[in-house]
Amino acid sequence: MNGAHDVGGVLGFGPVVSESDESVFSADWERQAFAIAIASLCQGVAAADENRNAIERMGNVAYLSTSYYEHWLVAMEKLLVQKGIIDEAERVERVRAVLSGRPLPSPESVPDDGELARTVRDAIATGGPSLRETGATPKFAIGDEVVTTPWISRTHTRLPGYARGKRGTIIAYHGSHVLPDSRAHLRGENPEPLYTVRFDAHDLWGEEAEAQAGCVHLDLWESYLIEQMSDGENLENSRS
Amino acid sequence: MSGHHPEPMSEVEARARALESLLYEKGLLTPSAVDAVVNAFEHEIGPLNGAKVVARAWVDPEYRARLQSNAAAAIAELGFAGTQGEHMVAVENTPEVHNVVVCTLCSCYPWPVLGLPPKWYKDLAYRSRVVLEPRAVLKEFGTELPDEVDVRVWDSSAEIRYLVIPERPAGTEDMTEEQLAGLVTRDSMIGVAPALVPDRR
Repeated sequence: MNGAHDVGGVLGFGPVVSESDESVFSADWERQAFAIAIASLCQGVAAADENRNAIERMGNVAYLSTSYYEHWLVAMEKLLVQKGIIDEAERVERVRAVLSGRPLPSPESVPDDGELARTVRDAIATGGPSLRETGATPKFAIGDEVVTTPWISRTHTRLPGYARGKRGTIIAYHGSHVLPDSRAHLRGENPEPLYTVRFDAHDLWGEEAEAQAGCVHLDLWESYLIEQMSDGENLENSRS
Repeated sequence: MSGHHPEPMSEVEARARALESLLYEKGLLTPSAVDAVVNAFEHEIGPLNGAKVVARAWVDPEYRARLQSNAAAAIAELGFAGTQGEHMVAVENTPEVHNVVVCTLCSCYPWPVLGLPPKWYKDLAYRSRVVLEPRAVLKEFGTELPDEVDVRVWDSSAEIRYLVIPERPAGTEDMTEEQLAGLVTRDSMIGVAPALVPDRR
């Protein structure tokens, strides 16, 4: 989606501030939010692409003014309601109850045979590959020159705005991977050949590239790419 | 850290607590599952894993070759695998080439080898700037690269995760693999800093 999360090359966010000796989580609510998300995703409540899409749709002002773990929390609030697992009115009522200090059932009273903990541990240790054996023949070969699609997307995509309509070179092929643009919107996995594309910094940023600039790489699906042909043809083909 | 809240609870704390309690009721979450996730990322999975991979690559040319041809498999040889590390590529820093990793669209990061990302990696400043002005960003981390070095940025836009293999510091010929791992910092495996030199430990 052409939204505020797509920050590559955007100016005005200030210097990079790194803290030494930072802990993994800085508050209990961050632990809870992350654990809720991971446990839900491990149980197949939603795909990672749906989670990213939900974060991108939280609203630009909210996105830019809240932290990483709050993004996860917002996405889970939305997805768990969308999936019919919880009811929005029930969620709002529970938040109100917590804020007014009404006691919640203690964790000790929750039935817990450890089975879900094992499932979650296994899922973290195993992961979920996005590679699919499709037998598809990749359209591009290493060394091919390509141009990325120049258009904005109203739906989830992994082509950053700074690399739209740019010229690059295929440097690696990774087989066919689940297409986030499709899975994020429950339209199936639709795996497509995935490539690493190298962009010369001058092709991305023109005169704003740094002195002695190098290159930026992106991993891009085949439908993001247009074959490099004679000048002028590319844009026309991309509309079809 | 404490479960006591002398001051009023913030809205975001209440929302996390509310969602957790609802999922307990629905049977989609248990206290031990929460502990399992938190414990995994606070105590088991972190940059020490990646440091072991790098140290092995420094001392064992055959391992280094396997890491370059199939990083996920080579990393799994040391027992590290799982979510957000299913598809891995290792990129090697040399006197001629400097690699640095980012995810401009969210904050994708190779969890099995580095754990969860530091705050600066997730912040808008790093995500927006390192693709446009990597040399300036690296300089803010104290890493000044000579003009002739080829700077390569890797923006993790798909499910491929990148691990930077920093250069082995000079003067470490006599060190053991375990000692070498102690020189390999998280920042050096993201590519914003070199590995430590022994006298700076």
